[in-house]
Amino acid sequence: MLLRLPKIGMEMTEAVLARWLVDDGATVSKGSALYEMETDKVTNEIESPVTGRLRQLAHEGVTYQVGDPVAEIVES
Amino acid sequence: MTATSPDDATLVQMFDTMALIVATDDALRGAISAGSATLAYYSPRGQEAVAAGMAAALRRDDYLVTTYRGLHDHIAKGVPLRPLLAEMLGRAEGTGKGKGGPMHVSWPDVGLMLTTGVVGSGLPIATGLAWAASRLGQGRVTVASFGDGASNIGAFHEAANLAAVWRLPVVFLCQNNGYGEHTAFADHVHIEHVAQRAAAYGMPGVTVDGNDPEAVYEAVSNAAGRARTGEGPTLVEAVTFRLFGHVFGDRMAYVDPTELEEAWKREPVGRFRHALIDRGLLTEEEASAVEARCASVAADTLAEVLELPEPGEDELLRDVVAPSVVLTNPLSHGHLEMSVRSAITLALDEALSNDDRVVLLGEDISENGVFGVTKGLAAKYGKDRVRDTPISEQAIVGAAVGSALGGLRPVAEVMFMDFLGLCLDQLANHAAKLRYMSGGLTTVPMVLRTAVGGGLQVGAQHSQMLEAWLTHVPGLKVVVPSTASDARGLLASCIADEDPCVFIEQVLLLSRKGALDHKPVPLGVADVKRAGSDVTVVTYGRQVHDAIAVADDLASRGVEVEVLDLRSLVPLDELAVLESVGRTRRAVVLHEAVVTGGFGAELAAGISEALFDRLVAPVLRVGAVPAPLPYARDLERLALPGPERLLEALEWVLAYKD
Repeated sequence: MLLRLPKIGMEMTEAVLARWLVDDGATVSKGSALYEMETDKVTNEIESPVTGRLRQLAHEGVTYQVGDPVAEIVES
Repeated sequence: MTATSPDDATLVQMFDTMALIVATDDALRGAISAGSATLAYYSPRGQEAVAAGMAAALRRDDYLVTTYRGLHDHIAKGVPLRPLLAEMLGRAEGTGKGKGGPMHVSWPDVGLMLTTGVVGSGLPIATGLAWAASRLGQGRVTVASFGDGASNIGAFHEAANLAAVWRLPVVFLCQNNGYGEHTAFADHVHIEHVAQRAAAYGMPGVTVDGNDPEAVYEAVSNAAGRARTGEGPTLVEAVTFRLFGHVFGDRMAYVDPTELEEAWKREPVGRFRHALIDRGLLTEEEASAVEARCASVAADTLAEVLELPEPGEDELLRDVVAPSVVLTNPLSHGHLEMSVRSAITLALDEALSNDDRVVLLGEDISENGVFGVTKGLAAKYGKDRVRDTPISEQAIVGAAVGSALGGLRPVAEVMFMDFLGLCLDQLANHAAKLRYMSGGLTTVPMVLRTAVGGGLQVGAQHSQMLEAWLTHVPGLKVVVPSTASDARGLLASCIADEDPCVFIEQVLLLSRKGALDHKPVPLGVADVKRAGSDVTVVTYGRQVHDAIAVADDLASRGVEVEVLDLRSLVPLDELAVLESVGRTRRAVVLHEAVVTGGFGAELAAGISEALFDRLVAPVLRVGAVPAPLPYARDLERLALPGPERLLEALEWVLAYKD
């Protein structure tokens, strides 16, 4: 499953991927926190919608637009 | 009250409903996290038991009005998942063809008449639905679902009072989830329970554990039973908790972690699952099978919906208004001379007589109304149909909106147009928009009559022509008659129309006499009140008569002024305006309202855009000066646009030579 940068709140258009909370290649479970994203307004932890092996596609400190690919999870 | 307990099948059904709410919430949150769905999402997680208990206690055709955090209510009441999710994601297959969105779901097939994005605004509308159901003998109950935050809004208090005074079959269901947006209950309400507020209105108030679907079922069942037997409304407060905050992404920094932890321990779905297994109503395997089925239904439906197309451009302007209703039968009393006041009374009288669905509501209308317009109607049709209301403008207009949604043809009266400020939300956010936001599933055929006291020395709060507030909102129709015949004909057309119409009565016109005409007066058809070839005065309402007087004066100087009476501002007879001004090549726009930002600005701009190369002079606007209308006689006269200022403007445009 391809994970894209979500839109959180009415006015968000972009966010900085502040910090990965899991390593590239790690196995993540549904509901676990994957990364922190930061907008002008707030910092949010984004949870994994599925269980599987994570491949990071985005880098810490970089600004991404809503809908940009952030990670891929191969479901298990 | 005797408790009405759910039977075993109902208990299992409620678990099923709760499992589907959880699964749908889960699927949506997953899709938002993955970036495949982008919407502002107000999770109902934690409140499943309230919705499941409520819906199980109702008939399929009972009405429900809910709020933007209403997904659990929608699912429980039986809105099919596919059009529901499609609406949330803005797809053409949505309940409102993707034009309403998650905050505006309607599905009349299961009684869901309204989801509002404005806190508390559904409650006055619920009273109207209940009134309609009761008048139409449908035995339907209306549930108004709202949050603890809404119990502080004026609309709640006006609606609760009206429902109690009229003994309406309403169940006010407060889902007290502990927070109004980010503010804790104790910080916005100074009593222990919302249900205590019922005492102020003389209705029963009960507080139940909102995490226990059986308790909610019993409370709503009892309340619905009272409502159905004519005992009036009940306030049920279901105490619960909002487990995922206000909106998706809300990190709930304002919630004490211990409070949240405790709330999760009381989480309703797991708790109810245990209870059903303990009582032998479900096995562990059966419960898991229900959850697995719901999870796959929700996930599969969401996946399908994500592939659906958005509405096409052809939907952009569809459903703003209904197809026009044009009366064709000749009207009664042709050639009879009467005042504007009597002509309005006649139109109301004939509407009440011809159509049982027509009802009137407003302050003091069973007496005479403040200007005698409703005189004699209560005696003829009864106080149930010519209904006095409390001094509660939100409730009056909300009850009109709701009763129109529920199949009546209400004509509401708001005593003075200045009081629109008290009820503009009902008019502009609800009456005007429900047809569009529901993709045409619901419609609001109501009329709002309102008086304007300009020129009567009644001061700045009883005098304003505020038609520009209304013409600015797509979905509202706005009518201003100038003669007895037009008043009768236009009001008849408004009552027959499928859309909300505002009918403006200038008090200074009410005693003006004129002969009635047999011809119906459709909305959107202007009338040349005086023909001329040199300049057009585009006007409406009582200024039509000023314009005719000035035109008569100018005729003695050899200038022929055409007076075009718009009669309805929305819909606007653009063709008549452009035909007349295209011919005379000069235009003055005249109205009683303040010039700045007035409807005249719209007219002047429209004329200039369409006829730029035909015009020989700029389009001038004449209206009230930009000040609150003063009280003192001479000052008021100076503030309003009299014949002198119109004459000055006409001379100005006539001075331009081709």
